[in-house]
Order: sequence, then C-alpha cells, then structure tokens
Amino acid sequence: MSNNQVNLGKLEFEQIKDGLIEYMKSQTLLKDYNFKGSIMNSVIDLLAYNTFYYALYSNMLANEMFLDTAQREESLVSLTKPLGVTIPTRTSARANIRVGGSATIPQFTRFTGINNDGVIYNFYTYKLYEAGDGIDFIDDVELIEGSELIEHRNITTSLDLTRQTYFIPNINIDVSTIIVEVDSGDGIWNLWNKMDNIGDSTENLSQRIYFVERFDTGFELQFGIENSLGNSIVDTDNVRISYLVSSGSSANEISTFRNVELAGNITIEIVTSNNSPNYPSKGGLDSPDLAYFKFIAPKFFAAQNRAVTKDDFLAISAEYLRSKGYYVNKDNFNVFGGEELTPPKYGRVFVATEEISTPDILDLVAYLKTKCTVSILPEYVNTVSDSLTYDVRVQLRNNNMSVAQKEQLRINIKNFLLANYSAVRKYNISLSGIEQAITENFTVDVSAAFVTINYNKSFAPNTATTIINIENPLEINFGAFTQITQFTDINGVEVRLKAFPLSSSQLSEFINLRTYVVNNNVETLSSTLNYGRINANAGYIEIGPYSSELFTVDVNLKYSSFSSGTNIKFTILPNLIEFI
Amino acid sequence: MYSFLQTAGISNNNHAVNNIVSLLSDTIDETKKESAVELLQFRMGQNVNYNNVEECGTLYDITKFIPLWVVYEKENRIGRLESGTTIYDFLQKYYDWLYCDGPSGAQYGLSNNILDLIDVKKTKDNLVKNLYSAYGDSFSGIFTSNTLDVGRAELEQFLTGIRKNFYHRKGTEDGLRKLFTTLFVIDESDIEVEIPKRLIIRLNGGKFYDPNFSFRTNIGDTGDYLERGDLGGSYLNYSKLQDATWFHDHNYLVFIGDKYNGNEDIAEIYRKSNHPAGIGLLFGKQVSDFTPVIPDTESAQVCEYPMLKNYAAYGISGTYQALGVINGATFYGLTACTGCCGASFSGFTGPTFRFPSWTNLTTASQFKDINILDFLTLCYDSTLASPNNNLTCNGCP
Repeated sequence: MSNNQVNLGKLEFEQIKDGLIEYMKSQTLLKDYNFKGSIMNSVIDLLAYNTFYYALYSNMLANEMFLDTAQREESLVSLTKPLGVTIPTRTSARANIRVGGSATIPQFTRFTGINNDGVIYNFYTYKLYEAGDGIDFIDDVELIEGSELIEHRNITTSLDLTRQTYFIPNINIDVSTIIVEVDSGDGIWNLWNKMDNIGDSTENLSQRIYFVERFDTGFELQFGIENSLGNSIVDTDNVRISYLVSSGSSANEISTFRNVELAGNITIEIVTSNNSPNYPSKGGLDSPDLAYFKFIAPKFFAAQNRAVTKDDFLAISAEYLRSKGYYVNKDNFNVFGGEELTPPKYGRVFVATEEISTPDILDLVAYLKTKCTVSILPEYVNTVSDSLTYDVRVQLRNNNMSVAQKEQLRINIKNFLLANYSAVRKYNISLSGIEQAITENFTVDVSAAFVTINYNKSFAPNTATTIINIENPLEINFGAFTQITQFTDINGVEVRLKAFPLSSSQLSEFINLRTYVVNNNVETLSSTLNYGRINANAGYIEIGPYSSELFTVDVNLKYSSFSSGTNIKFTILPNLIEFI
Repeated sequence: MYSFLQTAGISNNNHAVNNIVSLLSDTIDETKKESAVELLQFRMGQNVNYNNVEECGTLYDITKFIPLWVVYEKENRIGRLESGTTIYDFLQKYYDWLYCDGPSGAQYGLSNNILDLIDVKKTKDNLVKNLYSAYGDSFSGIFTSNTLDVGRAELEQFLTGIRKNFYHRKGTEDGLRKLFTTLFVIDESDIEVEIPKRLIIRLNGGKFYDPNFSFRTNIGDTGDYLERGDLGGSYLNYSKLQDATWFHDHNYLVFIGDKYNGNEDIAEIYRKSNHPAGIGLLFGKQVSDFTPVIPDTESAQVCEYPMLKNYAAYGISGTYQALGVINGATFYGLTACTGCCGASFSGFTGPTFRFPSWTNLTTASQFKDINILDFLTLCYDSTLASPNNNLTCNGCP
C-alpha cells in the first residue's frame, strides 16, 4: 500500500543542529547564549552528532516495524508470521521436460543439467511419473534442482517429543520440497501436510499436519502439541523427512538435461509449448523476493483461507502456486469476475496467466473450487495479447529549438517512455500520469504533454465472429461517422464498417455498424449487408464472420489529457476463447 | 527507555557527552547571562499517545548524573544571589528537546515506548496507514482518497479485531453493514441491501396475488415466493422481467444513504474488500432507482407505435382465415388490403412487413439477436425508410 518510508524526525546533521539551536533559544534559561560561539558551537555539534545516532536508529527501527517499510529480510520474516506466510530462504530452479523410453520415472530420480559455462547441477523428480498405455513419452515431468537431496532421513530419535519439534539446521533448503512421512507402526508411511495457516476450522485438530517456522540458522518443524492443532508424534512412531538443498538462481537458464539413473534407452525432449513454461529452467532464487511477500502477505491474511473477493483469489492462488515453485502476482496472474465482462457471465471467476504448466493449472482450478463460494465456478482462460500505442504531443518552452535539438528531445522522450511505460505481456498495467511524468522529467524543455492512446489489432481471415472487448470507452462521437475497419468480404466485396451513433444514449447501447460498399472509391451504404455491431462506451466491437482477408481494427480510447484529474486505466480482458 | 538505548549501543555516547561537557562546565559558566533556578521533575516511563504530545517538559531526568560538587557549588552560587546555571542545566534542556515528540522537540519517538508505534491506539496519525498496509490492505483507498473523511477513532475501532469483526464475515450482508457502520459511520438504517431476484417474474402455475384473479386462496396457495419458500405463488402483477443488469439471479444492490452517495472511492473500497467475485453489484442504487429505457425523443429517431391491426397476421391460430404458408408454418390474419403489403414471402400476401432496423438481421430462417427492447419501442434510424410511411388502409377490411 504505502511505500513511503517512516520519518520520525530530521535525519540531516545540519537540520538537527538548527532544530536544537532553535529550541535552546526558545528557553528562558538559555535564550541569551551565543550558540554560534566557538565553545558553544562545539558542544552543539557534539550533541547534534549524538542526536544523529538517535535519529538513525529510531528511524530505522520505526521503518522495520511495518510491513510496507521494512527493508531487512529478518524483519519481514517476523512481520509476515502473524499474517500466515512463511518466507523461504532459497528457492530451487525448476524445469519441465518430456521423457521417452521409460514407462515410469520414480520419485527422486536424478537428472543432470548443464549450464552454458559447463557447470553441472542436479535436478530431481519429486513424484512418480507413469506413461499411459501405448504412449511412448511422459509429458510435463517436473525437475527440481537440488545441490543435495536428503531422501527419507529417519529423524525419529532427533525429534523433541516434548516440544513436538524438529530443527533442520540448514538455511539453504527449499521449504516447498520438505516431505514428512510417519509410520505409526503398521509399516505404512503416511504423508503429513505442511500448513501455512491454521484457517478457521477445528478439523485441523486431528489432522496429520505440521507447521514450518524459519529461524536464522534453519527451519523448525512444529507438530501438534497438547491443546494445539494437528496430531502429535508419539514415541512409537517412525518419522522420516526428505528435502532439497537449493543452489538458488545459479541453476536458472539450464536447457540441457541428461539422465544417469533410468534404465533403457532414455530420450529427453524439451517441452516448449505455452502449457509448459518452465524451460529453460527458471524460478531459482538466492533469497526471497521481498517485494512479492510485501504484496501477497496482507492479501493472504485478508483472505483467511477463503476465495471471496478478487484479491482473495489472487492471494489464495499465489500461496498455492508458491508451493509448486511459481511466484505469481498481479503482473503475471490476472483474476476477474464474470460480472466484469461484456456481456456479463455471472457466477464465474476467471484466472489467466502464462506462467503455469497445464497440469498445474488444472490443479489450481480444482484447488480454487474448494476455497470459493459454493456455486461460483473458477475457470482458466487463455491469455490473449493486445497492443497499445500512444501518440505524444509536447508543448515546448522554447520555440526556437533547432531541428537537431528537437530530434534529440524526441529521442529522449521516446527512450523515457520505453523505459517506464513499455511493459510486455503484463496484466494490470497502469498508464496513469504519462503527461505529468514527461513534464516532470523534461521540465527544462517541455511545458505540457498531451497523449492519445490508440488500440489496434490485426485479425486473420476468420469464419467466426471476431469480438474485440477492450472494456474502455472508445473515442466515438454521436452524430458523426467513425470508421472502425475495412476489408474485402468472402464475396470479394470491399466494405468499410463505420459507427454512427445517433444520440448520446446510443454510445452506451449496442448499435449496428454501418456497412459501406466501395466501388471505384465511392462508398454506398448497404441496406442488406450487416457486418457487426458496437457498444462505444463499453469498448465492445463485434465484426464478421465475413472477412476473407487480414484486417486491422484501429480505434482511439476515449481519453483526453486535457481533462484535469483524468486517469488512464486501461484494462484488457481476454476474450473467452477456451476454457479448461 | 534507558534500557532501550543501552541495547542500541547509544548509551556509551551519552556517557561520552557527559564526560566531555563536565570538562567544559566552568568555561560555559563564565558565559552565563542570566540567573535562574530550574526545578527538574522526573517524569519517566509513561506511555503517552503520540498525538497528544504538545508540551513535553522533562521526560528524561539527568539529575543522578550530576556530580555532587556541582550541586554544592550551584547551591552556593544561588545563595550568593549569583547565577546557578551549569552545563547540566544546558544538557537537561538538550534531553528535554531530544525526548520530546511535540512540535518543538526532536520527535524521534523517544518519549514513549517505541513499540507503541505499532499500537493502533497510540501510534502517530500518519503511521495508521502503515498498520492498515499489513492488516487491512483492501482499505488502502481511504488514505489516498480526497473525498473520504474517515476519523482516527473509526480507523482504530475497525482495525482492532478486524479478523473476527470483518474478515470472518466477508462477502456477507453482516460484513457489509459492519464495514459501513464502523469505518464510515453510516447509520445502520441508511444501509439497504436489495436482492432483485425476489422481484423477477416467474412461472407460478397461473396463481395471482390479486384476489380477483387468484386461485385456491382458501388453502393459502398464493403469495410472495420468498415468504412461501417455493415458487407456488408469486406477486405476478408486481414482478419484473429478467434482464442482464438489474433483475437477474446473480445480482444485489447496495445503498448507503446520502452521506457518500455517488462516491466512487467508497464503492471501490467496497468492491475490493467485500464484494464476492462473479456476482453482479449495483452500488449506490435501490430498486426504486430503476427506470426502464425509454425512447430518446430528442435525438434523431422516429418511433412507431404498433397497432395490433397492422400485425394481426403474425398470429398463428385458427381464429382468422389462413393467409399463406412460410417455411411450412401457416399464418392466419386479416385479409390483405390494397396498398398494405410490404415484403412478401413465397406467396404470402398478409399485411406484414419487417421492422426497418431488423432488415439486416432477419432472414426468412434466422431471427438472430434482435434487441428485445425494439419490440417495445420500435424506434429506428431516421435515415431508413419505414414501410409504414403513407400507409393507408383503403380497401383493408
């Protein structure tokens, strides 16, 4: 929310000194002393330096007290604990590959990956994979990097049964890879589940669960103690643990993998489709992304383990996906309710992302169904890319600038915009304040800036209706023609589609686009052809299905930089093309 | 507080200052201009609301650090009616300033337990938003809005116990009322939550609320379906046709009175904090605000007012004589009259025509997506020619 640093008092030495002198002068006892005199000045300097230490410490302490201003990782670890989020230390890199030649790939099978410098890293499967009948390859085999695999280590005798804890003295493990299994004497190893939040249910009282708490030198596993949540470990139980020690970011970007353990003629293919985005290996982190946890932890607390609001869906999804090695936030993971669509699709909540492989998407949607309101249907929708362009006009302070100077200014502004307002394949991008940013950064040369935002997109010949839904008012006036597009239809007729709302109220209604037939560059309104409709204020255009050639839709968003207080809030919601 | 400074490693600096200034005390004493005796009061260890600190006085007393010979000398000077001001008086003023969180002090939060900064009831006004950033993230709009006026007391009350008082009620009407009454001090009686689906017309088996038209009223088999718990009877005569925005099964209306009527900031905070995703919401509206869409008489439109006579041929029944067959369906109606015929279909000669705006949408076999409102208003683009123009019924039955 707020990233402004807490500032309890003055931090500059001269300001501190001036403030002290001002106070001293205001005191009846001392008002006539000469504080600029050499000796007094020395004493004041001394006290100001002393104050400087107080100031530094107090301000740092105050900032570290709050989630949004804390800088130290240790502070955030503590601040996020009451919010139900455990900040990990390292995160292992992951890769998804396709493996042939083996009907099964056991859990903890080791693969090796080689980076461009020839350094070899170990990757492990973390579950059993089996090929289907008659299928030669196993798709989406997830490999997790680990410099060391602790596999089935028996910790029965190391557990503190009184406190129901076990301490892992290694700060470099990937917490998401911890597996705890307990044999209660029947020879069956039962999986116990790691919990981050107690939720609101008392069902956890009798469940096989444990919590993980981070300390400076490692992680402590907490099992259920008397009057607490979860089952306790008893002295007749056998307990074993598995986890990976991570190499962090150094195992990212690995694209060559080999297997050294599986029997047979193993072949490895790389899955490069959008449904398997983990290639080359990625996601490895040396230290936690603190900005991510500052963003997601308050939302996870507010969700209280249920998905009700959009932020709840985001937080629940993010925490769930983090356990699978994905870090998603509002930039790469979008949530929107069906009520936001035009036309609305009530009772449904959509998530869209390019970050997650297909099996994990299916798992996520199934998980969300268990967390959201009954009758609400969470669904995944494929991402659709759209593009925006913006034309910028600037008012110069000096009309006598040379052509070369103007060109240099143009390049500088363009580079500034590319650096700050050019986001690729992101959700929820805000373009607010472009004009102000330009005038503030080029204040010497520019007195004002004006921006027009343009949406354009090309469409291939399509036998289905093309729907453009940009959910923002379009710059279309009533009582006037606005050309939306032109193309040649399947009968070879050149047509131009124009919007012509008759009244202001029609800007908010669906009206038919007028179809003009072009012959020898002469337009004639067709009384028989109807190639689409438009709702200007909703930003909704429907064209076709009659195009035989590629055509471009090109419209301006209804945004005026001349209007004070106007913010650009452009949201592109993907068309609902495919549902899983 | 002193133990805190020791922990911070700052206490050594204090001792250093004491030692140095004690060496300078005689020199400073020579520069004195005025004689006064300060009575130092010891006021340590009190937790004070940061926002109530105006005049601080002495919050950290250094009396115990003053050497006895200085106290003795000071008393002697005062006894001789000379100035009693010493370097320690100077230092006490320094600490008065350093430990003061009022406007005249250094304001480093040293007058209180610094952990009070994370106590919502004691912290500074400008730090409340930092507490909300951790525990009430969805309410961030309060601190950036220029149109919302939420008091400190309300912010404190709402954040205290927010998990039990609000998050556990999230998505419910109870949560909604808690939010608006506690945080925005809106009177409970001003808040209205309406569920339009209870007003939607539904199949009711032919039973009507109006006793003149009701059936089986003697066994109570009629009435509001929500009161009855089934669809056995409904207020058919007061019901609304279902639409996509106001009256449908996945919608609710929230009205919060006049205090923040039309305020988009509060609407956004509500959507972010309590609105269930996937459900329709009309914020700031009541069912009584609903106005059916009516023709815009000021715009360039002309409207037709359908006469039953003109459309009689649309009826499919045996009441009238058969006029013709379209796609296998026999149409019955009034006999065609001279000059009444518009479009004709495969020998059908009834007095019917297509509505001008639908010319491009309908074919003999497709009805497509004609706006249902057109059936009611029959308004069309004035540039199109209406087949009703100059229509006379000379010769019509």
